[in-house]
Amino acid sequence: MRRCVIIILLLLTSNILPTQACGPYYPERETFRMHLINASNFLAPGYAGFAYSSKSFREGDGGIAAQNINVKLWKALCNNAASESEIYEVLYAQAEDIDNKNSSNKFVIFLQAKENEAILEYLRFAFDCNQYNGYGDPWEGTNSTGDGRVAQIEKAHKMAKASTNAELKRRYAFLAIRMAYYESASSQIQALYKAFFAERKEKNLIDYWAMSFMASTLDSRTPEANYYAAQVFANAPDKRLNMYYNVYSRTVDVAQTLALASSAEEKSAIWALESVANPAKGIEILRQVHSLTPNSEIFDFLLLREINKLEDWIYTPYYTAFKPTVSENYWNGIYEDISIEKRLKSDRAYAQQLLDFLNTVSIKKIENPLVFQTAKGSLLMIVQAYKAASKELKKAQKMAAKKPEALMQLKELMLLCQLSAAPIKGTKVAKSMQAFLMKAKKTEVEKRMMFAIGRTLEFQENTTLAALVYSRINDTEEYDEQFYWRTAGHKSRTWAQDYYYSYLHYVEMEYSSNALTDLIAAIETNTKSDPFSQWLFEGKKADKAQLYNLLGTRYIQEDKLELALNSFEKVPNSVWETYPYNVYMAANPFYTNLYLEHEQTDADTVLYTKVTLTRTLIDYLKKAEDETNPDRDYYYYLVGTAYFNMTYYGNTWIMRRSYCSSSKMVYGLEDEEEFYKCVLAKKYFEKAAASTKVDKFKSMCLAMAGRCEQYAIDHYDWMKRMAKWDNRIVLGDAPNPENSYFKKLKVSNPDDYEELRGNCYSFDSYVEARFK
Amino acid sequence: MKPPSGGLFFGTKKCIMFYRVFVIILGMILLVSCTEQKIEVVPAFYYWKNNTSTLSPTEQAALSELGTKKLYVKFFEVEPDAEIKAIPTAKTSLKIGKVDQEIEIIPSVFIRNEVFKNIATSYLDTLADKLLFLVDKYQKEKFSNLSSDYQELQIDCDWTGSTKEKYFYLLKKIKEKSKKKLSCTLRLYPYKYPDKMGVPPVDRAMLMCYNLIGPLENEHKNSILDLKELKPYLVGNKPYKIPLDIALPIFSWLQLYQYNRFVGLIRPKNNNFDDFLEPVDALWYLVKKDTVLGNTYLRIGDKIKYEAVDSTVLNEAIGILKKSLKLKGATTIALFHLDENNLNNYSYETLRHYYTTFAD
Repeated sequence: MRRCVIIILLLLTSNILPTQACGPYYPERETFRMHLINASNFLAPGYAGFAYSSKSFREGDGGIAAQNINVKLWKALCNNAASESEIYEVLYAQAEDIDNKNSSNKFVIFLQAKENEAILEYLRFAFDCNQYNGYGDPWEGTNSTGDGRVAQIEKAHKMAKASTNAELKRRYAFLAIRMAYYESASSQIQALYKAFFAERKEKNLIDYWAMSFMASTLDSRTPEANYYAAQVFANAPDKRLNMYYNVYSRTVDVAQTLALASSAEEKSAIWALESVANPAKGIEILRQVHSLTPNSEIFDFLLLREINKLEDWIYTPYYTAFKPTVSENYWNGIYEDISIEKRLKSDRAYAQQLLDFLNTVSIKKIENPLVFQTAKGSLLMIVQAYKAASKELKKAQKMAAKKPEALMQLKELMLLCQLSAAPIKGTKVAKSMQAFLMKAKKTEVEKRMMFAIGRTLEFQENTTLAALVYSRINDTEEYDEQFYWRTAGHKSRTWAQDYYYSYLHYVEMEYSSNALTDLIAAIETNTKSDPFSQWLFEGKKADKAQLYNLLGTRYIQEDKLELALNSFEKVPNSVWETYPYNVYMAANPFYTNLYLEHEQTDADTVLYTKVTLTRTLIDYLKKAEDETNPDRDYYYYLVGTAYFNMTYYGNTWIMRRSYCSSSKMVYGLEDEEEFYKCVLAKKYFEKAAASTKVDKFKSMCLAMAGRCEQYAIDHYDWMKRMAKWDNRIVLGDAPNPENSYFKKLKVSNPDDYEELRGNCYSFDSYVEARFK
Repeated sequence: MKPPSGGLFFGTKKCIMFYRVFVIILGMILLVSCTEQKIEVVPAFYYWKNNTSTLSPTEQAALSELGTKKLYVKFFEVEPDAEIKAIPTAKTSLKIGKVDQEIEIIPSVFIRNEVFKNIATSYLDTLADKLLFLVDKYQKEKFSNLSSDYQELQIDCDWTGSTKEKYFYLLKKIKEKSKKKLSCTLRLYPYKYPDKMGVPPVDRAMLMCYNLIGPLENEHKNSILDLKELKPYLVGNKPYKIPLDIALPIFSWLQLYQYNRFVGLIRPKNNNFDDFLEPVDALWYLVKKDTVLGNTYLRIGDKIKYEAVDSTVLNEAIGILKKSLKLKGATTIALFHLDENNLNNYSYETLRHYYTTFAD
């Protein structure tokens, strides 16, 4: 059996490691980011593209938000003669022809009234201008879009000057500016802006649209450009992305930009853009924005960005990646990353600091307190003050009566909050939570919520319920729709897959034998017929064989052979006849020599299964330990050989691992020492040497023990190299680099030492000497 | 007459004269051949950013201090497009009104290799027209203060065996239509294997001596420049069929790993990381203090691989290049790329040395 090829053994599940054409798939960072609040459900429209995430900012709902604002402006312009939806149909859906005399659309009717002729004319002109808005040919060659644009700009300019309606005047001027932008006529944009917009105190969307084009004419990296970018960002949702990426620069001193602002709102907008660009802790900017504009949309937006940051910094490691702090015993042996723990502590302290700041504000003075109240509840959860969090979340729910999606999220948060507050052990899933779990629509947030619930149950040592909840998170086989999670010790099946998306993979690596036993027992004994139980246990009987195989493997790792045998015996024999066992157990585990690793040999005349190997091993061990047995030395040798073959270096490593690669890796499992240092094999070779009366056989057993010791010595060097990269590796004391068994053999029997170490073909004769 | 003792016998005065003349001629030949070994270095920079409209004062100063003669400006990139087959993207915003010294702008166009995968050869004539139109337009709109026309055009493309024919066809068409000096970039792989990868039909090729391995390919190697990777490409080759110029890296980047997974590349403003990074191994650092770098928040415990090109390594690379390549005549040595963040890591003296060493 070759060990040079990396093969994922699909030992226990039918899930296939997701791959892409360009190589192994690794889920992007966003799939790990924990967030239990979807900011878009709470905020005014237009901010979704800038909600905190590990992705780049995007357009989001900015376009729609701006359309809605414009529709409102038009509604005011037509003195509420038409509804917003009727105006929308004309302006954006293009479902109505403004010249249709038979239209029943009230906005069209309004436009066709004689006294509104100027407005109708404006709209005709505006629609006509659309053809000039764009670069046309991206190669900028045959630019049909540009043909006639200069004349159209001039026309718009004239109309702006001539119009007696102030609103239309500005709209004409804006049309001229926008076309001038596509004409790359910067100085014309600046002149038009100066003439029609610069001096206006009361601004609306049209002013900020015009300002966005004005900003694009300025040198970036200047306070002026940043000032305009910030004002547009705050007031024109569809221009936010453009301002952030194409105009705003972080290199400008904010004090210089602030000096250009003439009102609290303008200053607040400048701070807001600074805050959006800030991926780190942003409480100081929040304070600034709050003191300037306490009731602004932008404060709500920044506050929820801060909450989402904290969720990422704290919940991501807490729920998905690092050591939980609730239960000590269950997680023994898992490395605790000190720097991450320190980071978590500091981030929780920051959450408390943010909470303290919110507590200084009287909620009565806030016009729209939903976000504020939600933030308080969420922060209290983050700092693990669950009872207080419940109270605040309850208040928030009352405020969210008119926002059904926000209300739903608050209820879900409340469920997690109540579960987290429950005592360790014996947690029961409340009816309300059962209802949520069964009906979860599996949005990004809901998948995370389900995982957080499962994880909390696991923290509370309700490992069976946790595993069953995990089993229902990813119902899809689509790898890009899965929720992925990592774990306390990042136990890994491969370097490329130190994450989970299947409960079976998860329990294989992370569950103790007791937890696995409980899970199997629950599946076997479940007779409940209530809807939640039916949902929870759906399809689980089919996983029993896999779970017993896992349990048996775990017992082998714990060196509990009888228990391992009991478990393996529950697996149908047909399993052992199929891949991977028919390939990776196709060599004799009771045979080796001093040189082979994973090689099939002539001795492989008998095929073993996990059952027969374990049974034979138990039998040989009994015979070896029977002091009256004259062949006990040989049985010790056979036992040592089998243990050796179950390590990384042997031909039956599949007894301990479902995955093995030619490159060593840290699995984080209990028998890591055994797997790489051959501790048990060495022990039994030593016993064989001590109990034999045949000198040559003794020499061979000592040489085998020496081989085991050499692996341990070499493994330490590997660990030393790896410890730089993997903080789970605890080196311990360095072994004596001199191999004590080889040394002993060299002194006691130098001829055998030379022969065994120097002659590849001598090994079998030393084994045969035992029987001569 | 007795022959003089020792040495070669020439016998007569005439022979002695001949000997003297021979020595002088030999000396002249040697002198001339030695002179031919020296190249005339044309100092150059690449300007690869597309979102900045002006050169910063630091960048302007570098051009002036280093006596830069050429600036290769990426005018735009060409990407495949389902509707119009090939589309220009990442168009330059740079506009240079005036610089302190005479400098030649070389329009450079990066063509993504994928462009050639689904494009008919018949369309390549049109593509050449479009490309040249846009180059001319930008030259006039953005750089006409320096020169109303350009003398050289450079095409950058990582072509493969399967796209070679179409790419070379496009180059021929560009050359024919533009009637300008045409150069192209040349990675070390096509340089090493001209039989397999072909020799592009251009006047000169710019040998790009960096990024020989993928950024994430080997955690122990510097992916920007590793001499062990560089040497095998340069040793034992026949002279390349077209004259070569050289591009050397002066950029650096940080590879950020969070939870042991690669997150992204960060381009640092300088190489002073002592405040927040702790070295753990060659190239590798651990974040010891929460720090914002650009738009990225580095957290305690994150891992960083810092890749930059050390002067010693670059000088050694220059030595290898000089020894292996038979550079002749006026040779452009271009540094990639002109950016104040990159410039912060080198003194003018060091950068000047990279140029002048080629002429030594």
